[in-house]
Amino acid sequence: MLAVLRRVDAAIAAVEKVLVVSAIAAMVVLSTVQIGMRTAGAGGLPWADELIRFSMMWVAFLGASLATSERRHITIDLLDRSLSPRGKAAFNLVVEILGVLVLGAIAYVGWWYIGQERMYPDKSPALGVLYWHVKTIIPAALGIIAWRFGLLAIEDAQGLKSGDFDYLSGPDAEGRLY
Amino acid sequence: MEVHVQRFGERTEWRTVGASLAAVGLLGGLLYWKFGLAGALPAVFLLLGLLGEALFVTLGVLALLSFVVLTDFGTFTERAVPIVLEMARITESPVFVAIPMFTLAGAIMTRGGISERLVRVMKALLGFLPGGLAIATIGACAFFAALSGSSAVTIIAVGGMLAPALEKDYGKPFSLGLLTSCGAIGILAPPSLPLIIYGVVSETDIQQLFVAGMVPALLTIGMLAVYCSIRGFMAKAPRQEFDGAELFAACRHGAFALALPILLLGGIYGGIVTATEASILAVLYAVIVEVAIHREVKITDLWGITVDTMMLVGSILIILLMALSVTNWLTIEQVPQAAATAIQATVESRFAFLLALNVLLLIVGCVMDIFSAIVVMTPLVLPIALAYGVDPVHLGIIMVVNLELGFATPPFGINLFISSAFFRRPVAEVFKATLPFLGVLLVGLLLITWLEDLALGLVRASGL
Repeated sequence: MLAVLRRVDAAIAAVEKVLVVSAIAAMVVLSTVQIGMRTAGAGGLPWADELIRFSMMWVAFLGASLATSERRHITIDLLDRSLSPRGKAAFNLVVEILGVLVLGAIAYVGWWYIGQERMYPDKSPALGVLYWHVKTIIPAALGIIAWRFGLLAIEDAQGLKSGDFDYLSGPDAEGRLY
Repeated sequence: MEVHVQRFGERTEWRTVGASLAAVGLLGGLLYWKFGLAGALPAVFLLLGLLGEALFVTLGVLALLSFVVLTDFGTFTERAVPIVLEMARITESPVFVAIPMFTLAGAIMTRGGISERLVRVMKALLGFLPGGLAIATIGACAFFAALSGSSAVTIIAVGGMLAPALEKDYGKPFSLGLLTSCGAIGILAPPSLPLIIYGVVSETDIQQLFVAGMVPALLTIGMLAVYCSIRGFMAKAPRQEFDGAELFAACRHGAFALALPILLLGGIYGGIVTATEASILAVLYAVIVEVAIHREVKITDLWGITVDTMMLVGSILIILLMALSVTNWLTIEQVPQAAATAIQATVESRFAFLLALNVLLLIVGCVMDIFSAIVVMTPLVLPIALAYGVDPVHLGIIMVVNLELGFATPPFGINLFISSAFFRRPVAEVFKATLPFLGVLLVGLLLITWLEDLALGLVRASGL
């Protein structure tokens, strides 16, 4: 069961990764062209700035959603060293279920908001894309995060049942920014 | 390189866990009884934090509680929609772009093995001084942390290379303490990610913050260097002969890594590019240097590095976005203003306020990572600090120095545990070894806090 869900999740993640890397590449290339043109006195691309800011939004939300499945979100791990792996898994289960509920609720609100925007469609001045298309990433990513908290909760529930907690002890430090 | 930090105990210490949860519960009850649900929000924050909830979810809970439960008009969606509206604001400010870009540039340079190049340059440049190897370590750590933005990676990358020689010349405790406390020391130097995030949250000019950070950064680095020099002199640590040819060779070997900060600063302050554009050019530079010149990163590696970095960036930005709506609600309810009035009634002098702020931030820095701490604390502290006449730019510098010290502060500072895992020493030994260095840095912190000209002098002089 979990294996099938994981495969679905991996497919979603693959799409997200393509989007993230393309957005970053586009941002770097466009900005470089912008700076180059400006230095050469050739003005600039009027729509580039907008595209960069919209890409930024997608990168932020997709990055956050990708971080969820790898348990990479920032927590205050004050009590961790006083917990056994079993205790940690039990605490995890609680916070992950809360995560599903909270993110689900905010994603739902986001979806409702997109619905409102669709009724009065508004285009961005330079690029001419519909704002609600750009902002759809908000409920979409928050929804995926909720789904991923669900998967983590299943993982922890299975761990509690089988008593095998190896999945909890991943590498640390590497991949942390602080 | 993988480091496994011992994250869990053998068995659950129910007494510690129970007592902590009960204490927070009691605090929550008291606050609820005195101030109602709004007053109990800090206890909700602490409780979920202790349970290990992801910080952005905790902030989401606070946002929902404040907007949905404590507002009394409209349907659920109408009440909660400000949370989503705040998130959509991310497209408004171009400064946001600097956050992923500087992080990515740092990640590419780190993967390209700049630590080895930096260490060689610093050894050739500073090794002849008394305590030369220790001072070279400080220099390499500062440079590396500024570029990589990560104190954990600094300890591992630079520490791993220098620890054996440091231990041989200066002994184990010195080596352990120095490397643990050095991890964060360069974080104030441009392109300082914590300063950019402070700038975004507090709506302060990033360029001014960068300039303001320079003297304090040099001061803390200098103080540590002097301390190491004295210790090195007393321990009669061997000094290296100054070798001009080696310095030249080392500089050639590390030229591209050394040039990046200089190019960035020159570009930004020369008015050629904005901080945001500089961040994007830094990525381009890192790619060209590491892929085409040093050839240490393959072009196919860039995919993985980018995805990895954006997970980090996303996990920080989502906290920022969730916090925006909580902050917004607090501002509507004028909570920080009320707190400022209340605190001003009890604490009269600015001096005492700043001291209390130092202590508070040290505790926060010890339990939270620097980015979350800035995101959460700035909106609360800034209005109060303004009431005491503290300049927002100065406050940013105080916060970053303070929080970076918190990294190495017992009992919970993250660097202590990274060091303990990486150098395979008991945590208690790392605590003890770090204390003298922490003491030196603490003096630096107090100077930076009380002499505002250390931060603001250069800003005024530069006319920004």
